Amino acid sequence: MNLILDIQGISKAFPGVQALLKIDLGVTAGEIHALVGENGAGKSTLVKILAGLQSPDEGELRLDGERIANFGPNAAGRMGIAVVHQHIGLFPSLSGLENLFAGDLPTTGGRVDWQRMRVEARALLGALRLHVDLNRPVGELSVAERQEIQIARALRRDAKLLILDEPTASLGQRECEALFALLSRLREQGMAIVYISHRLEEVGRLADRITVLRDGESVGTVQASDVDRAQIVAMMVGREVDEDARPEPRESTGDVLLSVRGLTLRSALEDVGLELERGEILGVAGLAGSGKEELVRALFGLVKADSGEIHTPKGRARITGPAAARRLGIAYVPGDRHGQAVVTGMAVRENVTLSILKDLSWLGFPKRAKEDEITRRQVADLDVRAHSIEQALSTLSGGNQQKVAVGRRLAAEPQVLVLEEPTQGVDIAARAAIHDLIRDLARRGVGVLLVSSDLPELLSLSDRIIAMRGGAVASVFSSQEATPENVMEAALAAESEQAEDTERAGRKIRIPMREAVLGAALLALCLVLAIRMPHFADARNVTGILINSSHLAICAAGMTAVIVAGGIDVSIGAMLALTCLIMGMMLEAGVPIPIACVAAVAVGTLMGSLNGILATWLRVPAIVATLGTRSIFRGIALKLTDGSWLTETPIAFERIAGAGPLGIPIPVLIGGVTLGVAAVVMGHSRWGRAVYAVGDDASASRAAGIRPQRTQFAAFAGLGFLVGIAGVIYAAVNPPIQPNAAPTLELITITAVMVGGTNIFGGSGSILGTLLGVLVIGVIANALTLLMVDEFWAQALQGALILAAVMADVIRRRIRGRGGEAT
Amino acid sequence: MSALSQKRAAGTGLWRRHEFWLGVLFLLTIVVMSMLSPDFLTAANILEMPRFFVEPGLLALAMTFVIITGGIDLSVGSIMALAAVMTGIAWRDWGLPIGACVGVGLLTGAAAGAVNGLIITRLGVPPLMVTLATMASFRGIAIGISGASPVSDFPDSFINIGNSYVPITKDLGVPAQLFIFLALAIVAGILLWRTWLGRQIYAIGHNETAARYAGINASGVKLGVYVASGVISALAAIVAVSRFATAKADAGSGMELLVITACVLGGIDIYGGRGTVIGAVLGVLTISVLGNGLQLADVGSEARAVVTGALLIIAVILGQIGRRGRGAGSAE
Repeated sequence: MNLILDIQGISKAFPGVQALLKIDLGVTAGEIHALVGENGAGKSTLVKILAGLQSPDEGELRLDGERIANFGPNAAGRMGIAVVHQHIGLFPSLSGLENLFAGDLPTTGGRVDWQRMRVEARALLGALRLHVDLNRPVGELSVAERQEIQIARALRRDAKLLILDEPTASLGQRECEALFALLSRLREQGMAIVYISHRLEEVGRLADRITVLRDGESVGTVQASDVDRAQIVAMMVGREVDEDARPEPRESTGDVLLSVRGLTLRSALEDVGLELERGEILGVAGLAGSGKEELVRALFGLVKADSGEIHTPKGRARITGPAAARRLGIAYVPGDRHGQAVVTGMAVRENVTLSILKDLSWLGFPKRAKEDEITRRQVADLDVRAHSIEQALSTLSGGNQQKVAVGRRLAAEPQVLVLEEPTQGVDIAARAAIHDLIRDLARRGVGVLLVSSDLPELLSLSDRIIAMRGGAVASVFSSQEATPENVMEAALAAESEQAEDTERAGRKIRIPMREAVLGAALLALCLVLAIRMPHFADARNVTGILINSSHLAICAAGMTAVIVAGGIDVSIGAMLALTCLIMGMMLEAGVPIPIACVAAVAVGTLMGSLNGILATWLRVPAIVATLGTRSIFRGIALKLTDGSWLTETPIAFERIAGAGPLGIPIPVLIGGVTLGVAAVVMGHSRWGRAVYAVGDDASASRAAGIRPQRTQFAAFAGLGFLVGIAGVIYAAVNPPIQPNAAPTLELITITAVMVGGTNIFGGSGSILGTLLGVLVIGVIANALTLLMVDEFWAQALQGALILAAVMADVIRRRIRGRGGEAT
Repeated sequence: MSALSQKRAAGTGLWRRHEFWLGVLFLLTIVVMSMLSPDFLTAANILEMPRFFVEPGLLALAMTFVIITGGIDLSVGSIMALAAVMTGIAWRDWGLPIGACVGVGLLTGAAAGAVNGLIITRLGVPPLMVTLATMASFRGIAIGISGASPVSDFPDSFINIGNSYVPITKDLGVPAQLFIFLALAIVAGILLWRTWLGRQIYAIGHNETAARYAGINASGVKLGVYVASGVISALAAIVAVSRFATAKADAGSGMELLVITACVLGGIDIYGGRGTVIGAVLGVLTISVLGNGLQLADVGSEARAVVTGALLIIAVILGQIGRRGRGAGSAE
């Protein structure tokens, strides 16, 4: 047997947790080897080690017989380990085709060879028998299609070992079937596959062998054909649970603290009802995607339920958020500790009293003695290990942070406590302490809703357990009825129930091309103006618009790159003034015109590079860095001439503003050529595509082997270069050269780029869109002049235009983000 | 039992605090400036200085709150212009009593701040973009409605706000507006340092989601902070209008950069969650003293712009180094 992957005695510990302990695992060519286990059993740690994202504390890894160690994600890929992570590392704004090759785009003569990519992609997809539309942005594809792209991407470099982490978690029935068919074909071709899943039916059907992990240890490896589902479940949960103690049987008292009826949330919850009594611990079991997270979120008004009622002893409740819940005596400890449950930058005291600060205050001043007293009580009751209640939470261990999170909610003396994954990532001692605390709270009459994916925890604490599946309550168990097996059985989705998802993911919102809409709008605007204003369509007026827009267009092209890369530059007006001035002074000193022009471009590039260094390697936020350099550049410009104008530049220089070949004005010519080159560079060079990737997702780009900082720096430097060119044109078109030149250039440029559809958060935008944006602004400015509207209103309008463009962008993203994840 | 002590955690000694080093820098600036110019360290000059730093100082107080919530307000200078122009128009064209004109100015500021705050909180547009846009719009509107013509001929009672002195000796006095600033600085300082609202503002800056989950009305607090920023900008505008005895649409130009620089120099973390009013005040003082000293030493305004820009960048870089060294520290 050809052993592709051979793991010997791998261990990995994190502070307080032994994630993996002496794991052995062997996967042969042409085998699908399933890895199953509860949450926290160590599966994802093992995947991260194989993917090169973490290295083991001890043990040996062999790939195809060769020992491998200390490798990163890139090296893992090169060696033939292909990983499809659960949280997908794709670039949502880029096309499927580009995602397949991101970080490694094939080029011919410096240009990205789209044709070759298409051919290779077709061959790749053909071999895998996949049919994904590669032209659409990945963000618009369904989850299944995205996954296919990911698998294809992983297999693009000849892989020997394919690892899939929970690939079916968000797939519907038909999509799962397609995936299984694909995996079976790969197996026939001799691929070694590690397959991680919660769904035991599919594991039983698909896998050749199954390895069960529990608490970081390998329970055993079995032939899939030798075992049935019940035996696997037993292996997964059947530990010698020291938490075997079950709660005493509890009689219903009818004293209901919280009752939920018919809670429904489109495609996530269906008619969920529950009742929680005083002093009761009600457990909620369910896998990821079962609706248990949504249940809590809907309960607290964090998402708006479509229908359903919530009742408390005070009557029907409308809960619009955590604050409203608190007023009703309901407290919530979210599962995402760092993101939601605590403020790690603040002290223990500040965290404990954060929710009740107003009640502790006299005339707005929290009473410090009272704060200290409450904090000390919680710290003592919960046995928080801290040097001082003034210690920042970030310096405490996870378990102690969790206790503080619980302490804050208890400080508000709630009647109902909703706990989400209360012991995730905490050590054993803290876990036991938190369990004791929960029992104690229930004894004191608090109703506890315990949402957990930790079965032993649920079983040892809960008086009743609700098992959720597919957004609905599948079964309810009393503490006597509940066994690990039957709760797990109820929670594991029967596969036929998953079909609904397909439809949801398949629904797509078509958004018309921004450029087409903008082009049509521009055309309509020009048409109206031409009809209403006799002089608008004159050749002279049109030429004037183009000449006056050319320096803006050049700057905007550079700004597009900077913004797409995730930056911004508000110093370009000052930059342009300084380049003009240095060039002008050289001209006055008799330096030949071409040399002065080159110097202007060099100075611009230098200034852009300075911005780039500050904004990337020195990590100054781009806006702050360029606000600072804006002041510096403008100050230097003013200082150089003491504010006076340069009137002695040679007349010959102004010929740059005149007509060139074919009677086309030189500025328009230069502008056109620059934009053409910029469009090619942004669209078809490796660097240009890297700019998009970096702006779309900097960490995904790093994983794909792109260097985000270097790429961003080049964007800033490139903008400086273009501002230098724009400076030459500006000086020629608008003589004499003055240090106060282009006072609002940055604003107009950013407006043009935004109007042109570039995403202010980076990742998308086009030079064509920017050109259209520049023209819209040029035409509007021209119309305002023809209408004799005062210039300053134009500035107000510009601001309004930015706002409108940004808001349109945000709204567009919201529409597009529906169904996906909102940021 | 946990071992708790009443003392603050070790390592928060005076010399570790940003404000301490800023104080040292401030004193150093004074020493250098007094060497550069003999006129610098005179009672007359020192007492005159507040006339120039009160306006940026007021803005810095508001900006401190904005930045600590994790936002930024680039429109403060333009709000000043708008409020100045509205005050002038209320006086000249509407014939309102001067007290009511001041009210019109303050209301204008509140409205402008509300526009910022509403777009930021309701639509979720980043503060940077919103206030960059309103920076242009408010200034444009100010120039537009004033027709670029300044309003003067204000009554003495109004002009006195920015031009009278509270005498301390026969020929020396403290500028009246300093008291407005001091009063507000104390209120702002206490608000941020000791009240529940201040604590909520820090919490939002540290982690807005967690703050929201703790039951804090983060949108409401942020909206309030931007409205306050608008009102205080308007107040600064009124002091400026009074000082120049003219309401012009170029009031407060370039102010946003100066104020952000002062705040960052004062140790306000540009990413939110950290900073103090004392730091911001020291930041403004340092920059003002530097500007004043350079002016007395006959260094032009251009060079001062260069120094301000350089200071901003250096302050942020030093802050980044400090942040990396500290990891995550305490909130205060």
